[in-house]
Amino acid sequence: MNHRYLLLLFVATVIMGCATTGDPQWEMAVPEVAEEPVQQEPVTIEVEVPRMTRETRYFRDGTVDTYKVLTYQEGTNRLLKEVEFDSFDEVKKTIQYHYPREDLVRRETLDNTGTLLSYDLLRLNREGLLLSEESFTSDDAARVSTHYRYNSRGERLELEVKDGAGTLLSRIAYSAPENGVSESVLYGADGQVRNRFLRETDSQGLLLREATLSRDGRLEREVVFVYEDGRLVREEHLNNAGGLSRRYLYENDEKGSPLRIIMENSRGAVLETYERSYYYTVETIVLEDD
Amino acid sequence: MSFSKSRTGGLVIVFLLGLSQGLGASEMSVLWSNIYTEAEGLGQKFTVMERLIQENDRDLIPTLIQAQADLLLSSRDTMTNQERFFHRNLQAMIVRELGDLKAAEAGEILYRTLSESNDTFLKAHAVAALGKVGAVEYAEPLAVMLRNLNLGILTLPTREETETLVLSLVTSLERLKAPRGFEPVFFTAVGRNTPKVQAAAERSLYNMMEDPAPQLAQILRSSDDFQVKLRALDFSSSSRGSDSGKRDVARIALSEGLRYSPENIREMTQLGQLRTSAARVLSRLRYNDDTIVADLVKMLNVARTETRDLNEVIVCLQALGAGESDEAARALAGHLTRLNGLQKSGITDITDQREIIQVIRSLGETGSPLGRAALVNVEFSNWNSAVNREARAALAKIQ
Repeated sequence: MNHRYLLLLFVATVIMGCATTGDPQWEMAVPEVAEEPVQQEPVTIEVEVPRMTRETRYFRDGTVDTYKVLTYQEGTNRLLKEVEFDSFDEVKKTIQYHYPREDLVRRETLDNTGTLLSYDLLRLNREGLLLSEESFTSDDAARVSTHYRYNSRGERLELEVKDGAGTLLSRIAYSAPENGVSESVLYGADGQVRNRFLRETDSQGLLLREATLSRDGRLEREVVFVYEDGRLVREEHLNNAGGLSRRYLYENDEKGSPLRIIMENSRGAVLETYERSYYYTVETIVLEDD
Repeated sequence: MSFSKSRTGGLVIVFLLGLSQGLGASEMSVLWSNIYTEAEGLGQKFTVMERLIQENDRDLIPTLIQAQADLLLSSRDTMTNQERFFHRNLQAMIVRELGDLKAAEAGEILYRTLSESNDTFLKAHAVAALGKVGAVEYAEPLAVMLRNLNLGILTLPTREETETLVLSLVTSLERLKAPRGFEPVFFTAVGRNTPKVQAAAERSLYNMMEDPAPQLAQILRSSDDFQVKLRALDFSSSSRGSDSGKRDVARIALSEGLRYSPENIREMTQLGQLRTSAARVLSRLRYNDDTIVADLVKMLNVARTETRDLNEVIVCLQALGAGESDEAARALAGHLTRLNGLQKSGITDITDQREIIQVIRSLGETGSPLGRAALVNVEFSNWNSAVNREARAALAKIQ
């Protein structure tokens, strides 16, 4: 059994609670990862998965900017809808999810009147890994698509972005980690390197540091992640001189999901705050060695 | 390794979101940022921008600012209709995102968008974003723009455009919390706007300033519309402002209510309402200010002799009872003495006992010994037993 894959699963499940704001949340409602098993029998584990039900975004003075309400299909972990409201309680945007097949998700973006603006088709492999994300206009014209490739252990090898006609726009190649450091390289449409990214993880697979380098290797920016008891409590974004550009402070619930995220500028002044609420479901997962 | 089914139907969406977000938002931001920069044509830039803003990443702010600067420089004259569509919507998307990211450094480009665009809806997006990024340095021109819309100096082709821009200005000025913005938002709330706009403006007024008393005082003094003065006073009473600020606004409102001579019944009613509302605030908050006492005495006179409004008389006497100076007690005692004299001589003009009872109660409220003689005299002025009972109760409060 591959522990890294298990770890990835946990990370992904918890990130799901972060939905669309993009901040990684690395708490794992963690069953202990056992020593490398000798036998070949399947291992069944139960994971508590957070379902974010609401996220409110506040201005620095504490007044509401927007809030988002998420609904799920009853009895499943399937996200059905994300509705974003402004502070007047009027709908700004809706994202709807449909599941026509086990390996296909249709994600629709609607405007404040409920009119379809665009949709994405997300294709998955049988392990549930995302294979492609194709974007279409409301009248079915292809726009951009993103394609992912993995190795047999489920680790991402490559990401390609193509335009509606299938022409390559950009590509990221991922390399296997060495001594806790992994690298990815971003290429332009001309095949030339644009940027490099370095990620450092600890022995548990927690992301400690993420650096963006220019094509000639100069540091452009860096993010440092700080954990307490395996839970992310702080994220510091540094500029190319190592100076702080902003900081995120995470206040987590007892399971480690962030209830409050405070974004501060370099001088420690609050820029904005997010508040979230969740419910938890227990997922039973069976892992088998091939 | 293979991955079997979970009991509740698979982790499909979990992985879906996890993988699309989890391996470094900054990496995806850089990727989309690069693609946007290298994209050819507005159509492709539009599509890429839609993906780029999903990253919700503040590291993208420089890219967004540069993108908007480039779009402002590009000439629409040579564009096809479709290009114009993308040009306009791309800008709207960028401007909104800069606002959502609270990009303080984007103030200048947002204001340039507002100034240079001919599209009202894009202007409205820029206005809203200026508020969200906290660009207080642009509060003045935004306030002037709203003022001009309120006054009809600035007109837009359609009602929808006007409403959209006004709503953006109101919410933006609310966000900026600049004192300069208060007055135009106030006039939007009381002006001839749709209920939606009025409600938004009213809500903004409550959030704009901790204590709006100086602005409301200015409106009370400068407006020549009695209804506006009344709304300013009403707003002050229900605001989050300090009691001293509310007292000051009520004092000015009372003074304004006495300053004008009504030219018709409607004005007489409006001025009466202004005085009455002001007096009610003063009753509630109490005061120690002899200029207020002097104005209340004038109000009493107007209410008794000009408007002949017993309700106004009663409210005025209640307000005098809330005065904490000797002057208030002296004014009430003087009035009671006068009423006692009229009653005693049999030439009373009192047709309703509510006035005499209120003046006695108010005098008792002051607790001032200055009222004792007049209260004692009630028993000797041929009032009925109910009035005498009130006088004894008031005397008990003084003693």
